[in-house]
This record gives sequence, C-alpha cells and structure tokens, in this order.
Amino acid sequence: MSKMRKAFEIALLNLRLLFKDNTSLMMMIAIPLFMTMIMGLVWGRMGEDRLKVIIVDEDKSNYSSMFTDILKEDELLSVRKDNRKDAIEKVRESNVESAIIIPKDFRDKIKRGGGAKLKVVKLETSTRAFVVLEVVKGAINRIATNYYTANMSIDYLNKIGTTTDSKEESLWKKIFTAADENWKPEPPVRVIFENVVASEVRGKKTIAGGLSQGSLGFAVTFIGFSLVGNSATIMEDKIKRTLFRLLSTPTHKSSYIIGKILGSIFVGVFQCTILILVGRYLFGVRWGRDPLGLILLMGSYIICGTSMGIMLASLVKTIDQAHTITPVIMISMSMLGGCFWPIEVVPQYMQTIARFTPTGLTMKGLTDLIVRGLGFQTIILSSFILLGMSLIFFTLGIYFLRLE
Amino acid sequence: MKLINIALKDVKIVFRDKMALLILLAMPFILMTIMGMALGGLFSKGPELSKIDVAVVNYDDGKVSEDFIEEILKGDELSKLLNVKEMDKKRAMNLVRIGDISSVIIIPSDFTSQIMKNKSTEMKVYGDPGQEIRASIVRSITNAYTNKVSSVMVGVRTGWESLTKLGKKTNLTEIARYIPFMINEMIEKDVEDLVKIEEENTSQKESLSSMQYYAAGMSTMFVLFSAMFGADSILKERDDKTLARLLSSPMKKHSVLGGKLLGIFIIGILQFTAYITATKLIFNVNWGRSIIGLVLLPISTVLATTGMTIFFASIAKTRNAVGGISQIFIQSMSALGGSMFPTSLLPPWLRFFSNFTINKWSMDGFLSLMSGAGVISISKSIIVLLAIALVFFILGIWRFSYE
Repeated sequence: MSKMRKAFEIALLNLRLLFKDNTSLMMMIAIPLFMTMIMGLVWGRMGEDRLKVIIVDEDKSNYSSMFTDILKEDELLSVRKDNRKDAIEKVRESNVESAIIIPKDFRDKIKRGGGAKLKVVKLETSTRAFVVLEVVKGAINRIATNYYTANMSIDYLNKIGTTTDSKEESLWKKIFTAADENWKPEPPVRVIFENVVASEVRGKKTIAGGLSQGSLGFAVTFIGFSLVGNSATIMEDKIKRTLFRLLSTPTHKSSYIIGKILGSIFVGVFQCTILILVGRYLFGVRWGRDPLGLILLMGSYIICGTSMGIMLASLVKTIDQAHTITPVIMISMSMLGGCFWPIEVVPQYMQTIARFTPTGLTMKGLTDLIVRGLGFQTIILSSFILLGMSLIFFTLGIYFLRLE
Repeated sequence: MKLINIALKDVKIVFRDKMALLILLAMPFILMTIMGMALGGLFSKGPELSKIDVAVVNYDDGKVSEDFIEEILKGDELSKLLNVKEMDKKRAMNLVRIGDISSVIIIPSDFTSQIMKNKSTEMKVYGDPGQEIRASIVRSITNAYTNKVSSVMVGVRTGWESLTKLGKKTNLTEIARYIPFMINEMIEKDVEDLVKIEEENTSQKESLSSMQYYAAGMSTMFVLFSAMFGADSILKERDDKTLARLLSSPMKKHSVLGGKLLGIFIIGILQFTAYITATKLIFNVNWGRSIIGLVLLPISTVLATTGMTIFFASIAKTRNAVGGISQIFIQSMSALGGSMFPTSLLPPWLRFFSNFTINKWSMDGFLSLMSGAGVISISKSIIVLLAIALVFFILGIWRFSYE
C-alpha cells in the first residue's frame, strides 16, 4: 500500500515540476496550438466554400461573356476579371486558385468550326485546381452542345429548304438560345454528391475540415513528444543523483518506476485535455460525439507513448541523448503516421506503413471517430493494438532499465 | 590563433558526440526520404496517387448504365486510376462509412429509361469524408460522364422542339428520322475539337522534384538546429564555469565568444557540405550548376544561423530554456518558411511572415539554383540572409551576458 502511495507521490511531483517549468509548459501547450493554427490554415483551405478564379477575357465577344456567365453561376467558384499579367501573378502568389485565359481569337475560331483554345493557369502545387478545371470543362461542354445543336438543326432546315440565307443567322441564334435554356436550372442528367457520416448523411459541407486534421495531427505529435521526452526526466534524476538519494531511502525501485509511469500518464492526460478543450472552444475543432471512444483511444495512446519513453530511457546513456533522439523518433513517426498531412495523399505502401505506427493507429482511430462519426466499437481494435505495443515496450524498457 | 583553437575544439566535440551527429546528419535524411515519398504526389515529377477504390450500386438494367460501368469506369483509360466493384447498396454504404472505399456511385432503376425518354435523372455519389480528395476525383469522373449524356439529351430535345416549330411544312416522320443521326453526331463530336482546354502549370520555380524540394527544405531546417546546439554549448560553458576560467586566462572576452561562434559556423558549413554531397550521391538530387552560388548561399545561411545562435544564448537564461526557445523559433520558422511544405499553401496574410524566416530566403536561393539560375539571381536571397545575420548578431552581442 505504501509502495503505491509513494509511487503516486513521485507521479504528482512530476506534474508539479512541470508547472514550475514555463518553457516546458510552453512547448507542450503553446507550440501545438500555434502549429494547429498554421496547419489548419494550410489544409483548411481544402474546405473553403468557393474557389477564387480570375477570368482574363481578351476576346470580349458574346462567346467569352457567355462562358464567363456560366462560371459566375457556379456555386463552387467565385469569379472576377483581370488582365493577363496581374492574373498570372496572382496565381503565382497563390492568391487565387487559377486564371482562365480566353484568347483573342476565341469567338472567331468557334465561328469557323473549331480550333479555339482556352487556357487554365494553375499553380503546380495546387491540390484544388482540378475542381476549377471540372467546372470549365462543364461550361465548354454546354456551349459546344448548344453550338452543335444549332448547326445540325440549321443543316436540316437548309436541306428541306425552309431557311433563306438572310434568316439563317437569326434562326441559328434562336436555336442556340433554346438549347442553352435546356441546361437550366439543372442539366438533364446530373450528379449529386454527399459525404457519408455514420448512420446519417449530411450535405456538401465537410464534416471535419482541415483545421480538425491539423489539430488532431498536432495533438497526437506533441503529446507524443512530451511522453517520449519523459525518458529525459529519468535521466535527469539519475544525473542529479536525486534518484540515488531516493533509492537510498526505503523507497523501492518499483515504486519509482511506477511513479514515473503514472507521472508521465498524468502529464499526457493534462496536455491532451487542454489541447482538446482549447481546440474545441477556441478554434472550433470538432472532437466527435463519442467522448467515451475518445477517452479510450487517447488513453491507449498516452499509455503507449509512456511505454516508449520508458524504453527509450533504458536505451540512452545521457540526458543529451534523450533530448536528441526524442524529436528524431517523434517527427518521423508523426510523418509516417499521417499527423502532418491527410494520409490519403501518400502512396499506398506508405499508408500501410502508417498502420504499424502508434501515431498512425491513433490518427486512424481519430479519423473514424471524428471525421467519419463512427462509434466506440470501431476504435476498440486500434486501442487494443496500442496497448499491446505498450506491453512490449514496457517489458523491454523495465528489463533493460538500469537505475544505478 | 586561440580563437581558432576554441572553434576546432567545439567541432571536435560534436564529432565525438554520436547523438549530436545522429540528429545533425542522419535525421535530415530520414525526413527527406519520408517527405519525398509521402508528398511526391504534390509535385509534378513525383509518384502518382494510389488506385481509388469505388463501389457501384446499379439498380438499372438498361444499356446506358451498363456502358457507363463497362466502357467508362472499367474502360482502358480509367482502369489505371480506379478499382471498381459492383455490389449491393447496404454493403457499399457500409464500406464507405468505415472508409474501406472512397465512394459509392448509385445509379437509379429508371436511369436508362428516363434518358431514353429524354427526361431528367440523376446519379448519386456518396463520399468518405476521411478521403476527401479521392472522393472528389470520383465525383469529377462521374460528372464528366453525365455532362456528355446531358449534351446528347439537350441536343435532341432542342433539335426536336426547334425543327417541329420552325420547319415550314413540318414533316414529323422526316424529323424523327433525322434525330438518330443527330444523336450519333452528338456522341461522335468531340468538344475538344471546338474548344481545347489547355492546362498550364506555373510555379514560383521551374518544376522541381519533391526530393529536390525537401533536400533544400530539410537541409536548411537542420542547419537551424545547429544553432540550438550552439547556444546550448555556450550556456554549458557558462554553467560549468569553463567560460569563467577561459575568461580569467589572458584571452579577450570577444575572442572567446568569437571562437565559439566560429565553431558553430564551421559546423554549419560542414552540415551543408554533407547534405549537398550526400543527397547528390544517394538521391541524385540536382543542386544546379552555379558553384559560386552553392558556396555563397550556404555561407550566408550559416552566418544567419550563427547570428541566431548568439541571439538564443542571449535571451535564454538557462540551458533548459534554450531548448524551448530554439524549438519554438526553429519549428515556426520551418513551418512558415517552407521547409515543411511549399509556402504557396499558406494563406496570403500568413505568407507575409515567411519573409522574416531564414528558411524562406535560403530555400528561395537553393530552389533557384536547382532550376538552373546563376548566382546573380540569388543575390537578393544572399543580401537578406546577411541582413538577418547582422540583426541577430547585434541583438545577441548586445544582450549576451558572460556571467
């Protein structure tokens, strides 16, 4: 009993020391929140309502203005006009998603029956320009359809001899307009897109946008940082001889280790709670509707990170080494696990590797819980694997840990 | 001479410290490899996205939906991109819900018959919010197809209406005979013949591979890390009282500090040399042709980080604080300055702050060199880096306390 009490006191001491150390607190709380904000802004733009597009109309014809009007009607885009030079500059600075250039001979070429060109300028690294391209293709398809329809109808009327040359032009326009009317308000066949979230289907709006992705990823990374970095405090105790003194009192070695483990878990829980609450109430990050599932998953992750810290403490020899290797391990694990960017942008084999890292497992669980809105049962497996990993790390760590 | 001795001693210490070597030399390679592999898709010369799993639920037994599935989705062009499976709705929705597939396309039972009657209909695409990008690709593909079908329908509808109304002696049977010809024509017509849509990529720099990008990004970031080690070693000398001992020797204050900083400068240069040589040999990274540029740019970058070292050492009171403060500086500079991802992904107001990072200017320079530019074109980067170095040196030396 007294063994446990001592362990508990050592654990609390860990936490109390943390509150005295402003730098560590800053590392644990301020940086993650700052990075959450930046990453959210980077990937969060994926979920922005409208993509900004500049149209460079060098043709200034009825065709180019028809095209512009179709784009303006589209709910995915926000359209404005500018000259070529400024437009390209804005794309380059990525103030807008793309510039669409309608060259001078646009109308003439169409009138002559083909060979017109339209240029979509985008930034090489743009992840969303394909949406613009899709809308542009749709608009061109609409204009082309009207055009071909009018042509073929006039051909027929000519064949049966109903038109005269003088009337042909106005008839052609009439048919073209009639065809265009048939696209409104919706084309005859269309696609309705919806996101699926557990048992309910929501509209177009994304459920957890970029800010959540960023926030989740950084919470996982930085909690990992403090947990794995905990190995350093064991080293510190060793070097400052406090451990030596502690063990010369009637405190058992196991009390010390359990105390360190508990302390690390306390720190993890404290940090995790703050990040979730601040993310939730300050940045509006969604953390899902299943608090029980969230607690189980984050709890397993905290235990797993703690066990890695203990194992690390058994492997390193000095406090400097502990400080040095923590970022090596955590940054590479976070990258592999998909904490810094959506995991779907990486190749398949990288996604498979992600499933074998504690960070990847946790991110998968968080995505299931929060983004997909799945229930408690879906994260049981992830938590189970995390705890299994912890067991291995703990065993190795405690076996190799030399306290003297 | 003493100055150089102190500098060399510091360099020797780093070489003896295997952990420091690990973080300064091995870590950047690990990160470059992971980032290059993971984010290659964002760059033009990188690997492609992996195949997209998509389910089709087909309630329609007509010809149109069959063509869509067999000719389009499973057709030659898309079979490289999509992995299409037909299944029932319950199973499909379940799979997309748990994220096993990216999306489900649902074709209603009256799809073909509605189209044949020239009446409106719709397909539904349900996407997994956990795979936003893939789901929107599937949406795009489906959209392109329905666009084409709509074209034919609009053509026929308009043709029929116009011809029956406008023809003088309306002959319905004759018009009816013309319609199949129109349908054929509409299907055959390629929109591209009328208006060709050209995509043009523009970038801040000529197209670079992800490996080149991250070679520059990570190298810069890890040279910044050496500033953290440097500041720590200065404070260590102060804590261990070795600094006091050095100062009590007949050495001038400034040559002691100068020696320390020279050591840090040499380490930075060695880092760059190692990164550039190794990435060139191992990953075959092209660093450009300008040798002078490749000498001047690392020198000015390292001067800036050396300045940062004395700045860190001057504002941190304890060795522990050095770790915290420098991590904050290095991580935010790297995130804002483009070491982790292209700054074009940042919103404009945040990109303004990139201008105050070492990473931005150093990377700008390296990326220019990589795309074949000469030393003249990177002179702006070099000047800004030297200015940053100057500011850090002035602030640092002014605030640094030897005791």
